[in-house]
Amino acid sequence: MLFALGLNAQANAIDSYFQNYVEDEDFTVVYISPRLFQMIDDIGSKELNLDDEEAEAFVDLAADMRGLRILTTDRTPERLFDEAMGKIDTKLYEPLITIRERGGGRTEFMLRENDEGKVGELLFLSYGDDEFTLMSFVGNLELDKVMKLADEMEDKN
Amino acid sequence: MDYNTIKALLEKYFAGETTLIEEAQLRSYFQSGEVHQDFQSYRALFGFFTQEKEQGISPEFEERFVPKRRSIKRNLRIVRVWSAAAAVLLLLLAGWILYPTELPDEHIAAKQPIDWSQYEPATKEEAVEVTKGAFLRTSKAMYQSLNQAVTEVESVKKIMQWD
Repeated sequence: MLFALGLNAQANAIDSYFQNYVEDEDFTVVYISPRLFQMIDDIGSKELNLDDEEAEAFVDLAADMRGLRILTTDRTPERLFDEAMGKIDTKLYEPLITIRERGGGRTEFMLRENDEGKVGELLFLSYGDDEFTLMSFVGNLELDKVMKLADEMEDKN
Repeated sequence: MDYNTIKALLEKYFAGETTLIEEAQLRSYFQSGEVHQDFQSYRALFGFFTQEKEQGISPEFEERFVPKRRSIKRNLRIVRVWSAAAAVLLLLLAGWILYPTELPDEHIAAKQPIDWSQYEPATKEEAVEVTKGAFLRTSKAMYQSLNQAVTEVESVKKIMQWD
Protein backbone atom coordinates (compact mmCIF):
# COMPACT_ATOMS: atom_id res chain seq x y z
CA MET A 1 0.00 0.00 0.00
CA LEU A 2 1.23 3.48 -0.84
CA PHE A 3 1.56 6.23 1.70
CA ALA A 4 -0.48 9.36 1.10
CA LEU A 5 1.67 12.43 0.78
CA GLY A 6 1.24 15.64 2.65
CA LEU A 7 3.11 17.39 -0.14
CA ASN A 8 1.68 19.73 -2.67
CA ALA A 9 0.87 18.80 -6.24
CA GLN A 10 4.24 20.06 -7.47
CA ALA A 11 6.20 17.58 -5.29
CA ASN A 12 8.29 15.30 -7.45
CA ALA A 13 11.22 12.97 -7.10
CA ILE A 14 13.63 15.23 -8.96
CA ASP A 15 13.08 18.16 -6.58
CA SER A 16 13.26 15.79 -3.63
CA TYR A 17 16.29 13.68 -4.51
CA PHE A 18 18.01 14.84 -7.69
CA GLN A 19 18.62 18.56 -7.42
CA ASN A 20 22.35 18.03 -7.83
CA TYR A 21 21.73 16.29 -11.17
CA VAL A 22 19.78 19.32 -12.40
CA GLU A 23 22.72 21.57 -11.60
CA ASP A 24 25.18 19.15 -13.25
CA GLU A 25 26.17 20.41 -16.69
CA ASP A 26 26.61 16.88 -17.99
CA PHE A 27 22.84 16.44 -17.75
CA THR A 28 20.31 17.60 -20.31
CA VAL A 29 17.32 18.95 -18.42
CA VAL A 30 13.89 19.59 -19.88
CA TYR A 31 10.73 20.74 -18.16
CA ILE A 32 7.25 20.78 -19.63
CA SER A 33 5.06 23.03 -17.54
CA PRO A 34 1.27 22.82 -17.05
CA ARG A 35 0.97 25.80 -19.43
CA LEU A 36 2.71 23.83 -22.20
CA PHE A 37 0.50 20.82 -21.54
CA GLN A 38 -2.50 23.10 -21.92
CA MET A 39 -1.12 24.18 -25.28
CA ILE A 40 -0.81 20.56 -26.37
CA ASP A 41 -4.43 20.08 -25.42
CA ASP A 42 -5.33 22.92 -27.76
CA ILE A 43 -3.24 21.66 -30.69
CA GLY A 44 -4.97 19.63 -33.36
CA SER A 45 -3.93 16.15 -34.45
CA LYS A 46 -2.43 17.50 -37.68
CA GLU A 47 0.02 19.69 -35.83
CA LEU A 48 0.89 16.81 -33.50
CA ASN A 49 1.89 14.80 -36.53
CA LEU A 50 -0.17 11.87 -35.35
CA ASP A 51 -3.28 10.29 -36.77
CA ASP A 52 -6.60 10.98 -35.09
CA GLU A 53 -6.65 8.02 -32.73
CA GLU A 54 -3.06 8.44 -31.66
CA ALA A 55 -3.55 12.17 -31.20
CA GLU A 56 -6.67 11.56 -29.14
CA ALA A 57 -4.82 9.17 -26.83
CA PHE A 58 -1.90 11.57 -26.64
CA VAL A 59 -4.01 14.63 -25.83
CA ASP A 60 -6.10 12.64 -23.38
CA LEU A 61 -2.95 11.72 -21.46
CA ALA A 62 -1.49 15.23 -21.69
CA ALA A 63 -4.69 16.74 -20.28
CA ASP A 64 -4.04 15.05 -16.95
CA MET A 65 -0.43 16.17 -16.75
CA ARG A 66 0.77 18.90 -14.44
CA GLY A 67 4.46 18.66 -15.18
CA LEU A 68 7.08 16.58 -16.94
CA ARG A 69 10.71 16.70 -15.93
CA ILE A 70 13.39 14.90 -17.91
CA LEU A 71 17.06 14.41 -17.05
CA THR A 72 19.43 12.57 -19.36
CA THR A 73 23.15 12.07 -19.56
CA ASP A 74 25.58 9.79 -21.33
CA ARG A 75 27.99 9.87 -18.38
CA THR A 76 28.37 6.59 -16.44
CA PRO A 77 24.76 5.46 -17.05
CA GLU A 78 24.82 2.34 -14.87
CA ARG A 79 26.48 4.02 -11.91
CA LEU A 80 24.00 6.91 -12.03
CA PHE A 81 21.09 4.52 -12.27
CA ASP A 82 22.24 2.64 -9.17
CA GLU A 83 22.87 5.89 -7.34
CA ALA A 84 19.42 7.21 -8.27
CA MET A 85 17.70 4.02 -7.13
CA GLY A 86 19.49 4.32 -3.82
CA LYS A 87 18.23 7.86 -3.27
CA ILE A 88 14.53 7.17 -3.76
CA ASP A 89 12.46 6.70 -0.62
CA THR A 90 10.73 3.40 -1.20
CA LYS A 91 8.14 4.25 1.46
CA LEU A 92 6.84 6.93 -0.89
CA TYR A 93 7.52 5.31 -4.25
CA GLU A 94 6.12 1.92 -5.06
CA PRO A 95 7.86 -0.11 -7.77
CA LEU A 96 5.52 -0.80 -10.68
CA ILE A 97 7.58 -2.41 -13.42
CA THR A 98 11.17 -3.57 -13.66
CA ILE A 99 12.63 -4.36 -17.06
CA ARG A 100 16.07 -5.91 -17.20
CA GLU A 101 17.61 -6.01 -20.66
CA ARG A 102 19.53 -9.11 -21.67
CA GLY A 103 22.50 -7.22 -23.06
CA GLY A 104 22.69 -4.94 -20.02
CA GLY A 105 20.47 -2.08 -19.05
CA ARG A 106 17.46 -1.69 -16.82
CA THR A 107 14.25 0.30 -16.62
CA GLU A 108 12.20 0.98 -13.52
CA PHE A 109 8.74 2.46 -13.23
CA MET A 110 7.73 3.73 -9.81
CA LEU A 111 4.50 5.30 -8.59
CA ARG A 112 3.66 7.77 -5.91
CA GLU A 113 0.12 8.38 -4.73
CA ASN A 114 -1.24 11.87 -4.25
CA ASP A 115 -3.49 13.07 -1.42
CA GLU A 116 -6.54 11.77 -3.24
CA GLY A 117 -5.12 8.26 -3.38
CA LYS A 118 -4.58 8.47 -7.15
CA VAL A 119 -1.30 8.14 -9.01
CA GLY A 120 0.28 11.56 -8.50
CA GLU A 121 3.64 10.81 -10.05
CA LEU A 122 5.03 8.25 -12.41
CA LEU A 123 8.77 7.97 -12.19
CA PHE A 124 10.76 6.43 -15.02
CA LEU A 125 14.41 5.51 -14.57
CA SER A 126 16.38 3.80 -17.27
CA TYR A 127 19.91 3.12 -18.35
CA GLY A 128 21.49 1.43 -21.33
CA ASP A 129 24.92 1.39 -22.89
CA ASP A 130 24.81 5.04 -23.87
CA GLU A 131 22.39 6.87 -21.64
CA PHE A 132 20.84 7.31 -18.25
CA THR A 133 17.32 8.80 -18.27
CA LEU A 134 15.17 10.00 -15.43
CA MET A 135 11.62 11.17 -16.14
CA SER A 136 9.04 12.36 -13.66
CA PHE A 137 5.43 12.68 -14.81
CA VAL A 138 3.32 14.62 -12.34
CA GLY A 139 -0.45 14.97 -12.49
CA ASN A 140 -3.59 12.93 -11.88
CA LEU A 141 -2.36 10.04 -13.94
CA GLU A 142 -4.36 7.11 -15.19
CA LEU A 143 -2.20 4.23 -16.29
CA ASP A 144 -4.84 2.90 -18.65
CA LYS A 145 -4.39 6.11 -20.68
CA VAL A 146 -0.67 5.38 -20.94
CA MET A 147 -1.49 1.89 -22.11
CA LYS A 148 -4.05 3.18 -24.57
CA LEU A 149 -1.44 5.43 -26.18
CA ALA A 150 1.00 2.51 -26.32
CA ASP A 151 -1.72 0.41 -27.88
CA GLU A 152 -2.43 2.98 -30.57
CA MET A 153 1.26 3.38 -31.37
CA GLU A 154 1.77 -0.38 -31.51
CA ASP A 155 -1.16 -0.83 -33.87
CA LYS A 156 0.39 1.64 -36.30
CA ASN A 157 3.85 0.03 -36.31
CA MET B 1 84.67 14.18 46.96
CA ASP B 2 87.73 15.85 48.38
CA TYR B 3 87.88 18.24 51.29
CA ASN B 4 88.27 21.43 49.23
CA THR B 5 85.36 20.63 46.94
CA ILE B 6 83.03 20.05 49.93
CA LYS B 7 84.24 23.21 51.57
CA ALA B 8 83.63 25.22 48.41
CA LEU B 9 80.17 23.67 48.00
CA LEU B 10 79.27 24.45 51.62
CA GLU B 11 80.36 28.06 51.18
CA LYS B 12 78.25 28.31 48.05
CA TYR B 13 75.34 26.62 49.86
CA PHE B 14 75.32 29.12 52.71
CA ALA B 15 75.72 31.95 50.21
CA GLY B 16 72.58 30.59 48.54
CA GLU B 17 74.41 30.03 45.26
CA THR B 18 74.36 26.23 44.93
CA THR B 19 72.56 24.50 42.10
CA LEU B 20 70.16 21.58 42.68
CA ILE B 21 72.85 19.19 41.49
CA GLU B 22 75.38 20.63 43.94
CA GLU B 23 72.88 20.34 46.80
CA ALA B 24 72.30 16.73 45.86
CA GLN B 25 76.06 16.19 45.92
CA LEU B 26 76.20 17.65 49.42
CA ARG B 27 73.35 15.44 50.65
CA SER B 28 75.01 12.44 49.10
CA TYR B 29 78.28 13.30 50.79
CA PHE B 30 76.74 13.72 54.23
CA GLN B 31 74.84 10.42 53.93
CA SER B 32 77.93 8.51 52.85
CA GLY B 33 79.29 7.98 56.37
CA GLU B 34 82.73 9.30 55.39
CA VAL B 35 82.26 12.86 56.50
CA HIS B 36 85.41 14.78 57.42
CA GLN B 37 85.48 15.79 61.06
CA ASP B 38 85.59 19.50 60.12
CA PHE B 39 82.17 19.10 58.54
CA GLN B 40 80.54 16.88 61.16
CA SER B 41 78.52 19.80 62.51
CA TYR B 42 76.74 20.15 59.14
CA ARG B 43 75.82 16.46 59.03
CA ALA B 44 72.67 16.94 61.08
CA LEU B 45 71.54 19.70 58.74
CA PHE B 46 71.72 17.59 55.60
CA GLY B 47 70.60 14.49 57.46
CA PHE B 48 67.47 16.36 58.64
CA PHE B 49 66.49 17.26 55.08
CA THR B 50 66.89 13.67 54.04
CA GLN B 51 64.90 12.33 57.01
CA GLU B 52 62.15 14.84 56.43
CA LYS B 53 61.90 13.70 52.82
CA GLU B 54 61.64 10.08 53.90
CA GLN B 55 59.29 10.70 56.80
CA GLY B 56 56.15 11.21 54.76
CA ILE B 57 52.67 11.93 56.13
CA SER B 58 51.34 10.42 59.34
CA PRO B 59 48.25 8.14 59.01
CA GLU B 60 46.24 10.53 61.16
CA PHE B 61 47.15 13.52 59.02
CA GLU B 62 46.41 11.54 55.88
CA GLU B 63 43.02 10.44 57.25
CA ARG B 64 41.96 13.97 58.13
CA PHE B 65 43.38 16.09 55.36
CA VAL B 66 44.25 13.97 52.32
CA PRO B 67 40.61 13.31 51.29
CA LYS B 68 39.96 17.06 51.49
CA ARG B 69 43.04 17.75 49.44
CA ARG B 70 41.95 15.14 46.87
CA SER B 71 38.50 16.66 46.76
CA ILE B 72 39.95 20.11 46.14
CA LYS B 73 42.23 18.66 43.48
CA ARG B 74 39.27 16.91 41.82
CA ASN B 75 37.22 20.09 41.89
CA LEU B 76 40.09 22.02 40.40
CA ARG B 77 40.43 19.41 37.68
CA ILE B 78 36.69 19.63 36.86
CA VAL B 79 36.92 23.42 36.71
CA ARG B 80 39.93 23.16 34.40
CA VAL B 81 38.15 20.64 32.10
CA TRP B 82 35.00 22.78 31.92
CA SER B 83 37.05 25.89 31.34
CA ALA B 84 38.87 24.18 28.47
CA ALA B 85 35.57 22.95 26.99
CA ALA B 86 34.06 26.43 27.28
CA ALA B 87 37.11 27.92 25.61
CA VAL B 88 36.90 25.40 22.73
CA LEU B 89 33.17 26.13 22.32
CA LEU B 90 33.82 29.85 22.27
CA LEU B 91 36.54 29.37 19.65
CA LEU B 92 34.24 27.22 17.50
CA LEU B 93 31.42 29.73 17.85
CA ALA B 94 33.73 32.58 16.91
CA GLY B 95 35.04 30.58 13.95
CA TRP B 96 31.51 29.75 12.82
CA ILE B 97 30.47 33.39 13.01
CA LEU B 98 33.57 34.71 11.28
CA TYR B 99 34.00 31.93 8.74
CA PRO B 100 30.65 30.17 8.21
CA THR B 101 31.29 26.80 6.54
CA GLU B 102 29.49 26.07 3.31
CA LEU B 103 26.91 23.32 3.46
CA PRO B 104 27.15 20.48 0.93
CA ASP B 105 25.46 21.26 -2.40
CA GLU B 106 22.62 18.85 -1.74
CA HIS B 107 21.60 20.68 1.44
CA ILE B 108 21.68 24.06 -0.22
CA ALA B 109 19.72 22.68 -3.11
CA ALA B 110 17.18 21.16 -0.75
CA LYS B 111 16.42 24.61 0.62
CA GLN B 112 16.34 26.39 -2.71
CA PRO B 113 13.57 25.30 -5.05
CA ILE B 114 14.65 24.63 -8.62
CA ASP B 115 13.70 27.32 -11.09
CA TRP B 116 12.23 24.95 -13.64
CA SER B 117 11.16 27.71 -16.01
CA GLN B 118 14.72 27.95 -17.31
CA TYR B 119 14.50 24.38 -18.61
CA GLU B 120 11.32 24.84 -20.66
CA PRO B 121 11.67 24.25 -24.41
CA ALA B 122 12.02 27.44 -26.42
CA THR B 123 9.16 26.71 -28.79
CA LYS B 124 5.77 25.05 -28.66
CA GLU B 125 6.85 22.58 -31.37
CA GLU B 126 9.86 21.53 -29.37
CA ALA B 127 7.66 21.04 -26.28
CA VAL B 128 5.32 18.82 -28.29
CA GLU B 129 8.21 16.74 -29.64
CA VAL B 130 9.74 16.30 -26.19
CA THR B 131 6.40 15.30 -24.67
CA LYS B 132 5.64 12.92 -27.50
CA GLY B 133 9.04 11.32 -27.12
CA ALA B 134 8.61 10.94 -23.37
CA PHE B 135 5.09 9.51 -23.65
CA LEU B 136 6.03 7.11 -26.40
CA ARG B 137 9.13 5.86 -24.64
CA THR B 138 7.17 5.31 -21.44
CA SER B 139 4.15 3.72 -23.00
CA LYS B 140 6.28 1.50 -25.23
CA ALA B 141 8.32 0.23 -22.28
CA MET B 142 5.14 -0.45 -20.31
CA TYR B 143 3.49 -2.14 -23.25
CA GLN B 144 6.49 -4.40 -23.91
CA SER B 145 6.89 -5.35 -20.28
CA LEU B 146 3.22 -6.21 -19.90
CA ASN B 147 3.27 -8.17 -23.14
CA GLN B 148 6.29 -10.02 -21.86
CA ALA B 149 4.49 -10.71 -18.60
CA VAL B 150 1.47 -12.06 -20.49
CA THR B 151 3.74 -14.29 -22.60
CA GLU B 152 5.42 -15.61 -19.45
CA VAL B 153 2.04 -16.38 -17.86
CA GLU B 154 0.93 -18.16 -21.03
CA SER B 155 4.07 -20.29 -21.10
CA VAL B 156 3.62 -21.16 -17.42
CA LYS B 157 0.04 -22.16 -18.16
CA LYS B 158 1.23 -24.43 -20.97
CA ILE B 159 3.83 -26.03 -18.72
CA MET B 160 1.19 -26.64 -16.08
CA GLN B 161 -1.06 -28.32 -18.67
CA TRP B 162 1.74 -30.58 -19.85
CA ASP B 163 2.29 -31.71 -16.32
